[in-house]
Amino acid sequence: MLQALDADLVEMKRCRTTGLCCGAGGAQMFKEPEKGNKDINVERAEEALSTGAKTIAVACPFCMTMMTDGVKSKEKEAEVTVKDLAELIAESIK
Amino acid sequence: MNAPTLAELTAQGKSPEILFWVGCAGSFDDRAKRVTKAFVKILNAVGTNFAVLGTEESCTGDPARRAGNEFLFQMQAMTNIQVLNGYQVKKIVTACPHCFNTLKNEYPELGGTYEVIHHSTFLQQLINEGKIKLTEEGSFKERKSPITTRAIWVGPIIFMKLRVKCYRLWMPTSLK
Repeated sequence: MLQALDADLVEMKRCRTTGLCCGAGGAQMFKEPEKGNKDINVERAEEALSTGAKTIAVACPFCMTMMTDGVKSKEKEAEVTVKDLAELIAESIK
Repeated sequence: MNAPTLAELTAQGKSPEILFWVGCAGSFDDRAKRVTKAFVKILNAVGTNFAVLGTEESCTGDPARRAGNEFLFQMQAMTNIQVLNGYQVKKIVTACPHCFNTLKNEYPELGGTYEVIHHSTFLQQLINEGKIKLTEEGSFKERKSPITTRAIWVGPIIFMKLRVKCYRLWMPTSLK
C-alpha cells in the first residue's frame, strides 16, 4: 500500500518476527512504566528516527499515541510526522 | 462526510454490505478521530455501502480480558454480539488491530461469527481492485528527495504475537 503511494519505504532493524512493540501492548500507555532505564516507546521512536524517515506509518491508534509521544520526547515532532495508513491514502485520493 | 448508522439504514429497509467498527480510540481520542474521518472519506470516495453502529457500539471487551477481567469481557462481548446479530451483520472492517483481534478470534466462541478485516487489508484490496485512484499530489510524490520521501512501517506487533503469547499468558486456565 505504501509502495502504491510511491514512498521510499524502509523497515526498522527490529521488524517482522523480531519486531519491538511500541509499548501500548504491555499497557505502558495506561500505567506507570516498570523499573528500567528507558520507556519502551522512546526506545522504539529512537529506532524509527535513526532510519532518517520523515513519516512514521502506523496502523493502530495505540501505536500512533506511543510513537507520537516518543517522537515528541526527542523533540523531533516538527520534522517527523506519525500518520495512519488511512490518512496517507486519504491525502492522495482523487 | 456521510456516515450513516445501522439503525438509520435498517429503518429505511436497507442493509449495508459492511460495518465500520470505529472503536474507542477512533471515537474519543482526538488524534485517532482524524484517522476515522480519513477512513470515512475513503469509504465515501470509493462508494462503499457501509454503516457505523454509532451510540450502539460499545467496547469490545479486549482491555478487560487482557487485564484478566473475564466476567466484564463476556458481559461487554455478549452485549455487542446481541446488537450485531440483531442487525444480521456479516462483514466488519475496523481501523484498530485490538478490535480486529477480539471480533475475529474471540467472539465466535460466544456466538458472534463475522467476516472481520483490518482497514490495512481493506485498503489494499481497494487498491488491488483499482477502486482507489491516487493523485500525483500525495505527501510522498511532491517531495522527490530520497531522504525526505522516506517512510517507515511500524506494524502492530499485536498481529504477530498477541495470539501466541498474551493469549496463553492472560487467559483463565479453564479457557486455555
